[in-house]
Amino acid sequence: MDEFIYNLLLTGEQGLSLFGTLRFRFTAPLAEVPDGGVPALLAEIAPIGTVTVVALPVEGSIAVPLLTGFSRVPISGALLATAAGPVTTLFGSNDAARPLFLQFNQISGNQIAGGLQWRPGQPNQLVFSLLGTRLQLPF
Amino acid sequence: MDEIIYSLLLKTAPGLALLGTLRYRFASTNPANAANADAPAAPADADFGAVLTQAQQQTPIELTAFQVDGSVAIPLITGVRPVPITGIALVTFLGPPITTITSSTDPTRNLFLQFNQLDERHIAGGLVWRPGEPGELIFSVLGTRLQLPA
Repeated sequence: MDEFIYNLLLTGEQGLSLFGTLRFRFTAPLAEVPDGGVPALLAEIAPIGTVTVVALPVEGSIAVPLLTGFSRVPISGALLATAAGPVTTLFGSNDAARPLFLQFNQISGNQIAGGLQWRPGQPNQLVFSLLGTRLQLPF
Repeated sequence: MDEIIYSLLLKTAPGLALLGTLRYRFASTNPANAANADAPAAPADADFGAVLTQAQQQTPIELTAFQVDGSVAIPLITGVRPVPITGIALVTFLGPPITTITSSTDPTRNLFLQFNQLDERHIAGGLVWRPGEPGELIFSVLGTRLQLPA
């Protein structure tokens, strides 16, 4: 079994929801994923190259009133970027009482998409997909 | 205005939807600016290009690229047949994938999908469906891994 299969929930900007399926595998003649999971799998197959990225520190806040309460959760992290543009952005919470992990990608000119883990690693963890539309504030 | 602000729509696998706001700015990457925390670190318009120029002073990280092939099926937009996709997974040294960037290999059903590993069982990312130019649909994607019996 060398294929990864995910059930998908897709959510559009207006909240339109669709279901789907994603299947993929790493292109290599492998019979099965080794016991070590993906890291062990990757150790056995040949990469197609390397990509050099730089990490830019970013800081900010996130508010999801029904989840975080009214005060914003301070977050900090890094944007990974190549010379051609941003690759992905990762954030962690700076508030120990409200732990969260956030990773998103630039999906179009003014939209980001990714996921958020609320209380990662804890038994009552919640996992969300996230679709963000950039607000352009007037000066 | 050096802050980047997004209004968010969050959704769990069972479909619970929440609204939120994300605000962030680039922290100072310049030691001279770091000493003076009041000085805005990012350019006035939070322009990615200018920020990336600043980035050339940073220590680069090498990510390893692996090719991935697969398919995605969203019956209501792609039709019943899965759309074949191909792309690359960017991985830190034998660590988990940082992100996976794929696109359709079927020219009549054009889509772009980028997703990240959230935890052992979940991926999250975004999908752009471009049935034709112009016009596109943008979705966030939450994937829950199916464990098939061996």
